Amino acid sequence: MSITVNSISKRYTIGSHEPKSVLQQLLSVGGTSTQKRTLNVLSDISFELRPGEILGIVGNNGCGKSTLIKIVAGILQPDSGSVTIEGRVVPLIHLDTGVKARLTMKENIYLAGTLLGMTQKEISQKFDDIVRYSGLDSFVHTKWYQFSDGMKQKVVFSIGIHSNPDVLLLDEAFSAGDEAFRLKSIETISAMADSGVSILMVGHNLGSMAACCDRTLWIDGGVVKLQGKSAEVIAAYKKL
Amino acid sequence: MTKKYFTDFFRLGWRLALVDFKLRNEGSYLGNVWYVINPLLLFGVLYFVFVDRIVSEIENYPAYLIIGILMFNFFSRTTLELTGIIRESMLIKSFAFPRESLVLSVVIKHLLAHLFETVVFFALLTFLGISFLWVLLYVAIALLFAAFVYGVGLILSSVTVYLVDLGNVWQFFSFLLFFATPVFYVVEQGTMVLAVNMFNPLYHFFTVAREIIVYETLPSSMSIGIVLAAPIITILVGQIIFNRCKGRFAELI
Repeated sequence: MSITVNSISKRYTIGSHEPKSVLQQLLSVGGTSTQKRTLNVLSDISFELRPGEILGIVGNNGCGKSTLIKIVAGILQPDSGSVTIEGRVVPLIHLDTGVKARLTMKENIYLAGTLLGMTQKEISQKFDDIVRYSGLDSFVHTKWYQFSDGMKQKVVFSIGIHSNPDVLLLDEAFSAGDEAFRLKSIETISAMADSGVSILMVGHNLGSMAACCDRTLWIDGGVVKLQGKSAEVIAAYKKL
Repeated sequence: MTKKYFTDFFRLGWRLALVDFKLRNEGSYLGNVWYVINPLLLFGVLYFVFVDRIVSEIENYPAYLIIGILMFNFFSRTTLELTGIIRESMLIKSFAFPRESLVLSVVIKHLLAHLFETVVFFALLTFLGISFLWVLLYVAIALLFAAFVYGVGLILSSVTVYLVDLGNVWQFFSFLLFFATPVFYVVEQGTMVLAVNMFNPLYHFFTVAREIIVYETLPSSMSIGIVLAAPIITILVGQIIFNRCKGRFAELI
């Protein structure tokens, strides 16, 4: 197995601040006026992902999809349960945080590549392929803040797929790109899976998810509501 | 910690440091000259304020003062930035990488600036009769000092995630430290200030640097011992604290 997720659970302690007047704020200095409650984000989640398989995760906002993918990526730690991963994991989550607005596209490719575990030599060797795949050859020396969201997504997705992943984790990978790039990305993901890369996808673009994923996991309220063939699970999710 | 963890730690620390070093003065007319202007102004103010009172008491006071200012500035700037480096880093929410590399990147960035300042000021020191050979030895002292600052940074950066007030406390503490440590004055034997400074690692780093570079004498074995031990102890303690804290960084920021 590339990924084995065994009965993981995750709780968050959430604080809620009630609006206060200036006098009330001054009087409460030093005291803890925040009310806290515990939220079970994930409860007893288990699944496996084989080499070359694409697994989709769907669910409403706040159901725990992003928390789950971050636990698999090693960004968050589960309160209980375990995650076993074989091979190099490349998470593409909140991609814009791995780059700097004042750097050029070229400089950001080197920065994001390093964050994804690539060496300087690897990045240099793949640099032309990364730029070519993004289709933004004429913007290599343009500052990042001048890029549109779609352009940024093309570059970062291109870096991710060229970083030799054994396991690719995608969170909302098709949220900003144009239709041509979305179709190209779906083709690439399928080709990567054919070559043995395991892919875990989280997203709300159900058309893309249905086209890409072999199996889909529907999470609702932190628990697995349904899992199975993508067409069946997504059809059931749409009925909700 | 695996070999890959260490490789990623150094590679990412270096890359982030270079990026921040480049971006710091981007668009600025004077660019890296700002690194020199700040200590130069402080040197000018302190020198002219104390020219009548201290200068005659301390041999080669300009060199004594320059070393104090440069080393204290490095410590102060780096640790102040480190109090917020984890708390303000969105990278932690998106990538699984050695968290310590964020601390390393800040230390390397300020060390590069510090060495840049040092080259400029030490060129001046050679005119004040300081041997360039001893000046080269400062690089070794600066690396030990940077290792000590890295250890302090591991503690500050991780604890601040849980205790946000520590950032403000440290800012005030740094201000006090500037006056408590002999940056611009000399401590007399048998005074309370000297007794307190025996427990202050900064005092021993400054003393070792000044003894070797300015006065070309061998520092006391106690100061040398503290300069060698302080980085090891702070890194060990810092790493233990950092390891205990880092598991929840992505949740708490």
